[in-house]
Amino acid sequence: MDLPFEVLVYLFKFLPKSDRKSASETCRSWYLAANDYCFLKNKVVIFYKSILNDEPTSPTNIFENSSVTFYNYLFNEVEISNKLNALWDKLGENIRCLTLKNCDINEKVFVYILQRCRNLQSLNIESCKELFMSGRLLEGKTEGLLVESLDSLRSLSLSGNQYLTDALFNRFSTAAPALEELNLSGCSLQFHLGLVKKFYPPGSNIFQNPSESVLTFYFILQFVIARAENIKKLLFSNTLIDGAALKSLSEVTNLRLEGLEVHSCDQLTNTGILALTTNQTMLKELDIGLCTRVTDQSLVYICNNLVNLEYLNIQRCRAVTDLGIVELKKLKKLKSLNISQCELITKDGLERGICAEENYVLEELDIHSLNIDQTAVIIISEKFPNLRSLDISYCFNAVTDTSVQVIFKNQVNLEILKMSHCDKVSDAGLTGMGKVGEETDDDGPIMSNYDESAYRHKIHLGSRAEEEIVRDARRKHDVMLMCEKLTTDTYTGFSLARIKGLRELDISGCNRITDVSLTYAFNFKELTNLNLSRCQQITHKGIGHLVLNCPSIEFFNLIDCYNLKDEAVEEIVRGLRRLQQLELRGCNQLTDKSLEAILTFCKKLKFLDVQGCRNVSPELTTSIGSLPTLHTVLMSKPGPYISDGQKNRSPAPTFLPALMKKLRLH
Amino acid sequence: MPNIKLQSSDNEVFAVDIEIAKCSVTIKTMLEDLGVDDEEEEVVPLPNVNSAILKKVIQWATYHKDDPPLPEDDENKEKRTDDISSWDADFLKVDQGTLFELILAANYLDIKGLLDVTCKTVANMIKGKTPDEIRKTFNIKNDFTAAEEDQVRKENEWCEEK
Repeated sequence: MDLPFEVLVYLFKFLPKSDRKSASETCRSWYLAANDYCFLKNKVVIFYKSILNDEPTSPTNIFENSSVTFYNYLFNEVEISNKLNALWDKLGENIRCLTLKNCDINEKVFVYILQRCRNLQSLNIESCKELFMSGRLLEGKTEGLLVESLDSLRSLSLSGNQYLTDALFNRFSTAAPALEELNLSGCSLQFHLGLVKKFYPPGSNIFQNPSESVLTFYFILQFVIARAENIKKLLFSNTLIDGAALKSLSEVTNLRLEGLEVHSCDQLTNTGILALTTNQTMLKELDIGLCTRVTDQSLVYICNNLVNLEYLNIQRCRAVTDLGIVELKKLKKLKSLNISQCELITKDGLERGICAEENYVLEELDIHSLNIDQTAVIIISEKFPNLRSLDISYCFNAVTDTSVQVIFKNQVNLEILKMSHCDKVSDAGLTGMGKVGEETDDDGPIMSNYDESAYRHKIHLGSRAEEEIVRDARRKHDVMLMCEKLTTDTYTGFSLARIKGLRELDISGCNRITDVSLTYAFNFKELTNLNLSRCQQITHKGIGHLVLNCPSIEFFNLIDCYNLKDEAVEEIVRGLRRLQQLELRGCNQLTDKSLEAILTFCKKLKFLDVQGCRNVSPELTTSIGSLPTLHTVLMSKPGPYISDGQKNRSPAPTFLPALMKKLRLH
Repeated sequence: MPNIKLQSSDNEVFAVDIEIAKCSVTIKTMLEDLGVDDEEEEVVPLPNVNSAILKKVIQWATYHKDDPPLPEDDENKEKRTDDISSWDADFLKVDQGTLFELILAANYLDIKGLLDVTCKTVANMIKGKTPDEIRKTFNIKNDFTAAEEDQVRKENEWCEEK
């Protein structure tokens, strides 16, 4: 039975991206539906470390021959030479968004590209050092064809280019009259007024003679003044923007910013934030994360004036205390909030602030590394029923079996959950098979019926640590028994498996987690990212169940899971057919058998980390580099390893030059 | 209670409460356009729906007649599929042919609630499967040539959705 095209498109809207990919590979009509414009407009063609040229082996050929029109292209760490000119000739007209990151490209080729890509809406040239080095890019080109090319450009990013100057910026901006968004993050923007005086003597028209040697904030400000009515979003992260500069920017007449990103700007002060909040009240997105000088005063301004804020990031604004945090409740439209690493925040501030009343609007909350206790996490998970993303990593004292149970009870809509290094959480918490909700003096819930008093009279020679190991093992055993004998009346709590739509889960460093959790609490059809690194108790038995129940995993981190043997890797590569990234660093029981399995089954692998896997041979690791999709292999330098009780130096592998780009030796 | 008569493609006639029938936007507009008043017992022909499917649709609509209106779709949000009620889940325990026919009927009759829940059910059957497994599940014939199949697979390898 065939479904008509529009019904298929509607149906595919209910699928996660990776499932839509699978669906598109079934037959022609499904392929066409999965490439309807509503999906296609978000698809990006990504060339990362690929070798691109005019040979038939170049991956660019795939897109030159496609029956589908792709709109967005990203080139990362690739060489773009004139051998690719045919690509631009053929596809340039259709490209809407073009990103070149860390690319080797010269001025001539770049001009050629711009002349062919005449319908660009977004152009991002990030960290392409050589392109700007001579300072002559686009010289004399800003009239005629080029002007037309950037006519409809809305968004321009020149971030991370240290050789950008006022003159270079001016050539781009003159050609792009409709610009709404500008990203100059990580450029060497000069804020010192002395410099301005040196390069722009009073009375000179700066647009006539922009400086060929520096990029000044003064010039950018004049640009913003001239375009005030169009500019909606500015990004100046990783620059030395200070209070005075932000003040002058905020006070530009007719400027109505909707987004500002000034992440990691150490010089930014409360004066700047005050001016920003008084003048730019339309702001919806504000990122001042890692701006260490920002204090409670700024947060008070923000919360009282920027009532339209939907996104706020104040990560590691270390001076912020409960005084500022309580104000957050005034931001009624906030959808995403990051207050992580603000060490002075306490449970009290959260309780009186964002948790003061039920909030149905907030969808993303990042509170990692806060000094809070478990009641704070419980309150949070009760007050925000619509959270889609929650990061409670490194909240060591707050994330316990009891508090995760409350999360699993209330937060069934979560798509992303991160609780890295919360090592109080055990199988009991993840499976819900424990006495949860009872306060105990012990760190974890006491699971066992085992009577301590019976042993009290025996002489005990073991250490406390040993006792803990024994207790841990007993707990694990009990939870397993409960899971196995699962009936409705033994069910006591809430399992992680309740969060059916989970896409991303990070429980790295939660080293009490064992195969029991993997077996009984992991059943996520949509899970694509899983981080189990340093969950050192897991073995291939748990992995076997996991891969059966979570078939969509694409990114899998198993760093330092010492107990994994070749069987585990075999289970993984057979079961996870969508695997793109596999990190096995430090899993030192693995042998060449694992690599052989990877070579046979991983058809989509792009990234492999086998550093410190001493029993895998460098030759085989090198041959893995021949997997066509693979772009990075991390491996240890071949060295003197002990095998068969003898010191034995493996011979240095002979690398194929083409693979050198993929391989990184550590 | 005023009734309306719906006639299936195989000429079976069902008498349905008019309010229940109106959960189908197609029928609702039809009635408004025709200006049918409640007195006349006019028969509405539904040539695209057979009696077995129409019966199921009516059953679904009757159960859901008091549902609150569905919220508007947010284009930017991915739609959830884990919120199928247990009644609906039981109701949709049918063979794949019937499920697809229900989707077609829901689409033709423009009943968003039924279309959503049937699509969610199918989506859940697709999740986590390889292309081959999907083909087997839904009896899809692979009409790609070997070259086309290779091309499609490669396209997917090199691109990601934002």
